[in-house]
Amino acid sequence: MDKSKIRTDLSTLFNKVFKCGEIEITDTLTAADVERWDSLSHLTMVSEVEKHFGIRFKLKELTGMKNTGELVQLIADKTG
Amino acid sequence: MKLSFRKAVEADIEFIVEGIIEAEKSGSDKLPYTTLFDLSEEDTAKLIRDILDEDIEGQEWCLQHFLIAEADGQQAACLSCWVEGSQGLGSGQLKAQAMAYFLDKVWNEAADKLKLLAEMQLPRLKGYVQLECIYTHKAFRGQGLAGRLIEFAVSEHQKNDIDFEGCEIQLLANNSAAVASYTKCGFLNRRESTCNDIRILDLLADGTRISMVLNRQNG
Repeated sequence: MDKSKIRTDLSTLFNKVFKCGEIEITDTLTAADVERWDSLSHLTMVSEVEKHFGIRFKLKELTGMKNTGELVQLIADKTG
Repeated sequence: MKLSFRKAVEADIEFIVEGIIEAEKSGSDKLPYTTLFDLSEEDTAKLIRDILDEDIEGQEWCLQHFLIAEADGQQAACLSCWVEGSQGLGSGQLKAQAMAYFLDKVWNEAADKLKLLAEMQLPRLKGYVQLECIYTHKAFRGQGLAGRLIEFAVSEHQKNDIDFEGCEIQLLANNSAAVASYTKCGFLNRRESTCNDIRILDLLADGTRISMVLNRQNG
């Protein structure tokens, strides 16, 4: 899947989960940049991303992810 | 008594699991994973071992973050220390991710209880060394071992980490003995967070979480 389409979809999902309004999915965005991104909303976000893109992350992938740039890359790799 | 400090190795896992369980009880007989997920103490120990095996850096249940104090060659105390946010995600997200992965449906079923816990969550200070799972085996208590191990952890970070800003410990307010011990080490109360829903006391030994901090200039 095209990375810009992934970013657009993620922006919608983030808005739904974190209730953060319009958010730009940059490569360097992290949990620390989003006010409501805590441990529970993080898991909801992961679950929503998996559902939306029809993919499943491995634990190592999830715990090794440093920013949304890596999330976008992972989704791109998994969706082809 | 001859004291020595070292990094944990695989042979320490059972001692660490025991330490995590006792530290989580916060001086009470209430183990949060039993009350939250209806896990037995044995199942909780298995969950901790599973997560330690994954070696997920940046959160407390990671073998390479543990330090061990030995007294006359015996495991006597342990603690986990890591720099918050050094792996991108915060320790809370990393640990929750790992627990949800292994507990799967059990995690989802506990959603309402987890929301209560979230009410008293205190974001950890990014860049600060976090000290967690601080435990002294009962045979060695009352000799200041935990304090000595904390001092060792702090001095190692001060020596090796040029960006060292300070240390943070989070604990439940009921554990006054631990608060006194950390105060003696130079930690100061930074802030606290309380869940006012009475049901929190079915889950934890106290409804208030405290953050204690030792800043670089205090150390």
